[in-house]
Amino acid sequence: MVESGHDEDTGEKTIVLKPNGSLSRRQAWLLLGICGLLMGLVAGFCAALGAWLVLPFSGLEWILLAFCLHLSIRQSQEREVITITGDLVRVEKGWGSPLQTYKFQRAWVMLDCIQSPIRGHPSRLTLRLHGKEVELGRFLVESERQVLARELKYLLSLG
Amino acid sequence: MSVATHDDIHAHDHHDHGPAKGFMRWVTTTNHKDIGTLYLITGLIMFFVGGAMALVIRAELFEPGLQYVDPHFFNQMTTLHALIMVFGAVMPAFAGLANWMIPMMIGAPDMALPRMNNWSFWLLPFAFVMLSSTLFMDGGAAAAGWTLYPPLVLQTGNALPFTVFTVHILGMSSIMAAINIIVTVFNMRAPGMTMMKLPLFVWTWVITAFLLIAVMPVFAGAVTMLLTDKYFGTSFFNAAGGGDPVLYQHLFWFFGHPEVYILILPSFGIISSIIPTFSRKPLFGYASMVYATASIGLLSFIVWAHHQYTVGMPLAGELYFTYATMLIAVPTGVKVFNWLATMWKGAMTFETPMLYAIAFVVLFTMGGFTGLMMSISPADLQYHDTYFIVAHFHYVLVPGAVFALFAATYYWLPKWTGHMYDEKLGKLHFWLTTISVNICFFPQHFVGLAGMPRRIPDYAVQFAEFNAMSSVGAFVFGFSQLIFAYVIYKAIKGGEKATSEVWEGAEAHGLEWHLPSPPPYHSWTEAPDQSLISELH
Repeated sequence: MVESGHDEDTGEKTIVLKPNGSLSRRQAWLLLGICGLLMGLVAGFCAALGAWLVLPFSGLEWILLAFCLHLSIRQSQEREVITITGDLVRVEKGWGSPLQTYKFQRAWVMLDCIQSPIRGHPSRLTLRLHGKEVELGRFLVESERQVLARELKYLLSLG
Repeated sequence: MSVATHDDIHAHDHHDHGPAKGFMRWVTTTNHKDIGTLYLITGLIMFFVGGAMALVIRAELFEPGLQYVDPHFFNQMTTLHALIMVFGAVMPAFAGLANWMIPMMIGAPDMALPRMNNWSFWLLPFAFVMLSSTLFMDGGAAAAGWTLYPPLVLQTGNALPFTVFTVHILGMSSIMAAINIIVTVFNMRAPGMTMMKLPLFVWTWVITAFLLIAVMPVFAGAVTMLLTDKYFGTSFFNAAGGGDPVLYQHLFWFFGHPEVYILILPSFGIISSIIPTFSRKPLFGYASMVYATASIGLLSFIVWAHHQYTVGMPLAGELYFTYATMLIAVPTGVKVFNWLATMWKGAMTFETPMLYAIAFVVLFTMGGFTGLMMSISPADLQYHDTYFIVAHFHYVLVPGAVFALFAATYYWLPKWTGHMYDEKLGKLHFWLTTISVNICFFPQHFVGLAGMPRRIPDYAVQFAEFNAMSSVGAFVFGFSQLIFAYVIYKAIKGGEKATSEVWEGAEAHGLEWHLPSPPPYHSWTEAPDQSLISELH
């Protein structure tokens, strides 16, 4: 998903890139809660009958489910923020807060869109300057990457 | 600033890797199609292994008296045949279909947790080698039936801990597969693919996955208690120590009954995919199919003790389980009605997948009806532990689950391989299989009603004719499956090129038909057009 913003006061342009994720964190908690309730009821019923050894297996399984959901949600909460201010292009990557930041001179940065020779394989969109390179929107689908490439091309050419 | 577009691939590009070459491709793969293929091949191999054990059983039962095997080995065969067919053939085959089809059906590039997917498959071969090796252990393999009831199963020799460990490994594999499916379907659907747009196959698998994670810990706990009773001096199931062997039965069937639905719900999804395609109509009553599947899933938790009517249960308990079990016929009836209504006035053609789908509807319904007979607790006292039960569950699981797997293979094989299969051989396989499966299992209703007990290698002479007939049917059925293996092999090696749609009008029934045949290594690198999704259902 590609979301664009523009600050009228500072003239700063921002593009936020996020991968597709059909489950929000809140929905994930709800799903975990429902599964926990179901598994807890079953394990509690068994334990009440004297089969308490079911409890640790249910607990372990619920933890595994929570961990897997966390991993998948975390993946879908990856963000890339491209900010264009004056003669500076800043790319921040991370989950929640920026973990990596790249800065480029707007006048010299090169935008590359590399098509794969293999049919059906995704293209790559990169910004590079002086041997420094950053890939953008690795998690985007092809059509979104093309939209991003066009928009970036336009925004960079304005400088 | 400059903008460049290259056609060449970047030196350190990490997107464009195709499959690795050689054996290690299959060991290290995280691709959903590769793992799906591994599951399906394993399922087929185990189908032949479990089938060979069934033929040992039927050879012994061809005539009264003891012919080829001793009673203890006979019981090892019945136990391993069931465990291998349930956990080794049918469940892995459905997991294979899920791996292959779910990402393609929901517009996702792969499963949500590809490395865990690899692990959940690779646990299986080790589990089956361990299970099969118990045959060669001191005291032989477990011989108490797939239910592993104590105290009988505690008489197993060295094989018991290995059997229990196998169950644990298989359970871990199933749980990881189920969690992967849940996370994939909930978090990786393409934009526009709402839950009520999901293909029925995906819905049935989601519900199956919830059943799996709900009941697998119960089975894991129960078999662990068998182990502690045998080796650590506990008395969970030992009456002398204050335990109760009937508790194991409750635990087992609390897992075992939903397990039956774990084996059959994905079949419902497959049949709900095939019938609309070959009737050239949308599925009748999509929403009611979803609700019926969910109802069957929920009801499966509250009917377990109908497997234990003879154990000694209060009258209120017998009444409750009778009525609750009968309720299952309602959502199942909705499904059968909807399949028939989908076919009604459709422009039907009868390619092999459709033939199997129709046979499924007819024969599974027969199995369902005998199930309804057994739900009536006073009547069940007559049927319990007889060949009538054997006939019932084989009608549900062979023309039910196994026929659905055959149908799915013929339906999606051109999509997987890019080649059409040999239709003549497919139809030959269908007719031989369908006729022989009835010759094998239908007479078992009669001998069962007349009182022939199950899991006994010898029988009274009045059952001889029906048993001989049944054995002939079993051998024809078994050897007919070599045709199935050959058809698959032939389609993999070559044949008429399949189009992306494969079947006329199939594109209207699922996203997978919009991908080329065979699909690219990475399925949906570009999200499917939302207009394609909105046209579904």
